[in-house]
Amino acid sequence: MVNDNQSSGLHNRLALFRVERGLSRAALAELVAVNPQTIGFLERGHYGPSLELGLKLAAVFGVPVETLFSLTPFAPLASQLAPQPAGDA
Amino acid sequence: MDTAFNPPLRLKLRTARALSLLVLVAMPAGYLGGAIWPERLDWAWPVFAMMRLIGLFAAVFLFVDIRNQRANAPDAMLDERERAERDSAFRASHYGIVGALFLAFLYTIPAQRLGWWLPDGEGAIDLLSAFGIISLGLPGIILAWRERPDVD
Repeated sequence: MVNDNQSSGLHNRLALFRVERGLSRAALAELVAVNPQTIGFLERGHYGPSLELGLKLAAVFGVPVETLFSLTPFAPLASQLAPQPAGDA
Repeated sequence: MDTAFNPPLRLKLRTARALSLLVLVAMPAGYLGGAIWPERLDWAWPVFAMMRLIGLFAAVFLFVDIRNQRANAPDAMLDERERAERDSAFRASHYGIVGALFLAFLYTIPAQRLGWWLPDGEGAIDLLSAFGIISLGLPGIILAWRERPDVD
C-alpha cells in the first residue's frame, strides 16, 4: 500500500475532513505522528498511506477508514448535496 | 517519530538542485580531466582544479543540508513516507554506483588490449576520490530531485 512518492491509486477525503474540523496540516500531522509534508502528499494523492496510518487518520476523524479512503473516486460533494429531482426519489 | 529533526542547513530546493548539478558535473569533469591530461595541458589544469574545488564545496553544502541528513537519519526520526523515500533513494544510488563501476570495468577490457587511455596511479586515486564523494552524496541528491514543493 505504501507508494514510493509515486501517485497513489487511493482516493481520499482527507483535506475535506481536515478543513471541516479546522485542523492545520501541522496539527493533523502531530495527531498521527508524521511530518506535516506527509499530510500534503496524502491530500494530493501523491502517497498512499500504510494501513496503520490510514486507521490512525480515520480514528482522528471518528469515521470508518473507507469513509476517508477509497479505491474508486469519491462522488463530488456538490452532486451529493444537490437536491434530487422529485421523480428520482 | 521523533520530530526534533534539526539539520544544520535547510537549503532551498532550487539551491540544493543547482549544487547537486555542480557535484554531478563539475566534480567528475574536474577529476576526469585532471586524470586524462595530468600536466600535458598547462592552460587546462587551473580549469580542472577550479572545477574540483567548486564540486567539493557544493558537496560539503549538500552533506550538511536537510536532504542528506534525512537520507542518513535513523528510522525513529522519519515517518513512513520519508522512510520509503529514503529507501528508494538508496536503491537508486546503489544502481547508479554499481552501474558506473560496471561500465568502468567494461571499459578497461578493450582499453588494455587496444591501448586506450587508462589512469595512472595518481589519476586512479583522483577518480576514486571523486567517485567516493559523489557516492556519499547521491542519496541526498536523489531526494532533492524527487522532492515536490509543498503547496497548500
